[in-house]
Amino acid sequence: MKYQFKAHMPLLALGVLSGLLFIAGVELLRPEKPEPGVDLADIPFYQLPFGPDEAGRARPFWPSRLQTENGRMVDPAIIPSAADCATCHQREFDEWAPSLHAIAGRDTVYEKAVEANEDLHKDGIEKARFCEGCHAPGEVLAGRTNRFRSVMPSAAETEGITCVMCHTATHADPEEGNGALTLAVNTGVDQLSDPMILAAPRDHVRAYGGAKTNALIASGDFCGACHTEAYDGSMSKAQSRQHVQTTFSEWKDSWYGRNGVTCQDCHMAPDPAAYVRQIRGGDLRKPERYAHNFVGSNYLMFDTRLGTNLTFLRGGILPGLSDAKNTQLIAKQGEATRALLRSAAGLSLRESRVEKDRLRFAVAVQNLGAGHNLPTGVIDQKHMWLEVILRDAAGTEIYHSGAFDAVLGETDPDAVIWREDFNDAEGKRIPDHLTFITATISHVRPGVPPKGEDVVAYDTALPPGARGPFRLEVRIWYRVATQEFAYNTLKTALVIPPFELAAAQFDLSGPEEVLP
Amino acid sequence: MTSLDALPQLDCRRVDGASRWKGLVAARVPLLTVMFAVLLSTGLYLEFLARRNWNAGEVILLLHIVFGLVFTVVLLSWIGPHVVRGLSKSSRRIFTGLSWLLLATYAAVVMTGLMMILPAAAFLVDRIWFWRFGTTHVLTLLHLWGGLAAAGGLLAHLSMRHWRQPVAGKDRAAS
Repeated sequence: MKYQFKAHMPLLALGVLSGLLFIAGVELLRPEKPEPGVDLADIPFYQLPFGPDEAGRARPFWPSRLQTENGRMVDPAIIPSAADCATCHQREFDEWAPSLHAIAGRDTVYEKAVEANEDLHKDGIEKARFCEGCHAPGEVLAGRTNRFRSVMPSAAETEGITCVMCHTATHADPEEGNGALTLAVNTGVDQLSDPMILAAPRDHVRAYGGAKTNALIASGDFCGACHTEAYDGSMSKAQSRQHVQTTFSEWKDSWYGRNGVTCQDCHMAPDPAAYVRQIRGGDLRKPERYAHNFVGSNYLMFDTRLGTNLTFLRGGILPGLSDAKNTQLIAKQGEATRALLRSAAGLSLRESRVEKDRLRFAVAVQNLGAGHNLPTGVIDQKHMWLEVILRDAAGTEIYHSGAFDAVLGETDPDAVIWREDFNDAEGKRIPDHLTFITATISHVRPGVPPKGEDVVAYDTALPPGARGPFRLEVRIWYRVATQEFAYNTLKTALVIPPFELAAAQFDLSGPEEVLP
Repeated sequence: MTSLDALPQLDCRRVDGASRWKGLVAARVPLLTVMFAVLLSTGLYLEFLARRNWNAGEVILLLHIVFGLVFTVVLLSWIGPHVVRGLSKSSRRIFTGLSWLLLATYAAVVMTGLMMILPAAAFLVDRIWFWRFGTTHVLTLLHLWGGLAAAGGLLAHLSMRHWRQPVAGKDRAAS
């Protein structure tokens, strides 16, 4: 045997043995941490007014369908704040920070609505787990949605749908909805220090985005877990399942769902409006990357003209943001939101004819760019209406439907409106989002389906002497909340401004189509 | 008065710089061998077992990084003269070829290791920068398989003859 081999083999054996001994020693001194999470029994005064499930297991998050992977409550101290994640993922933080996801649990519109609901029932605070499951999952999972808040807060809990609430998801049920997500917040969060994460990023990625999580959060199913909402007896007066938000099924049954264009493709594209135009042009390539802005339809929360009112509405400024940066990010996202809204709808004149002293015409409101109904979501507040103004040859207004009073914030009661109504047990409309006393849901006019249209017919008397050619001005307006809600729940005189989705003018001489 | 020339010699051995250096040089070889084995075992642990308990894994990772850095410094100080000496002694082409391959493998392991800790080093000087995840994945893969290949190569390097045995027939003819 070669001398070098004989000389080095003991040294190699010594090295391997030393390594193994060291590993064994460290494993003994620093054993695996006990099962992460908190026992339900360890949360003082935690209320379970809804009883166990059919199998006799406790339902600490009910009526929300949210779950933790190991079934335990979450220790708020271990939920990393988005500001922590921003240490390395600054770009993603800057995208997410102005988003509605970031303020989902703190914005005043939401908070006031929850408070109004909580006051309706003796277990109102616990019932609000239904709302918080999607809006502030950290609060629910930590046991803070409770009449006695015995659990201390943490920064992450003020951040609504913060990083880990998506990046630890392991299961979603989009048909069930109501927050039907399973999150590995307890088990899927690594506890390495920052430099060690940078030295061994694969385990950080394994913890936060195992192959399972990455595939799930890229799917429409994941969004559907919260963007499917139905009321039942556990949080409302409904006797049967009342479909409140059907955004997921609207998408799934649409051309977009069938062609693999997901929620993320549009709402997380770096330029959502440009991506929608790309899709409308028939190019189904995926975006070059997914940004964390989650650009949607709420233009109000990005209207920097509101000044301090906007800060009030958004529930303050997130940890990790300065006032100036907050405004800058919000303004940028506001542009993207408005552009996306303008890419959604179109108008088309379908018919017009004069019969004796009456003018009949039909306008098609088209959903050209949204992969779900227009409007979608919980549309008792968000709503859309059509404004039509008919002028004669002299420019005199001879018919006007759907006018908006910018002083009182009221819409023409005879306007053609796309909205759903919450009704109480007596069938009376509830205008201010009182979920807990809602018994049924009805639609004034259901939303316009993706790549579909809703033709609205008008029949108006022509005043004596009115002469053509007649000119029709049409606008589709969108508004994120009713004025009743602003007055009754927000207790503010702020007139909620509407947003013009599309506008067109038609000479009533024949069919004409206007696309944005 | 005593003459300086008549002073007795001190009764101790002189430890001059050269011999200390020779001692250190001689110690580097076993040090490298032991460290290589430690790095291999801790590396395999980090790759396959640490995810089970990062509480301990973090300490092992730190040790692996520190040992890796020390190993790199010692290897760099030793390898040049070793190659020069070895080339002049190696009379078997296959041994020379495999040795170059081993050197390349060591270089790959060291380089990928250093590249992987660059983000952590940058963090310690308040710079946030890291590789794209795909790059990290490739670096890790190269580091792992390079390490395993280096282990096999080292055993071969230590056990293979590099001198040429006299050919019996030729010797007889010459005599």
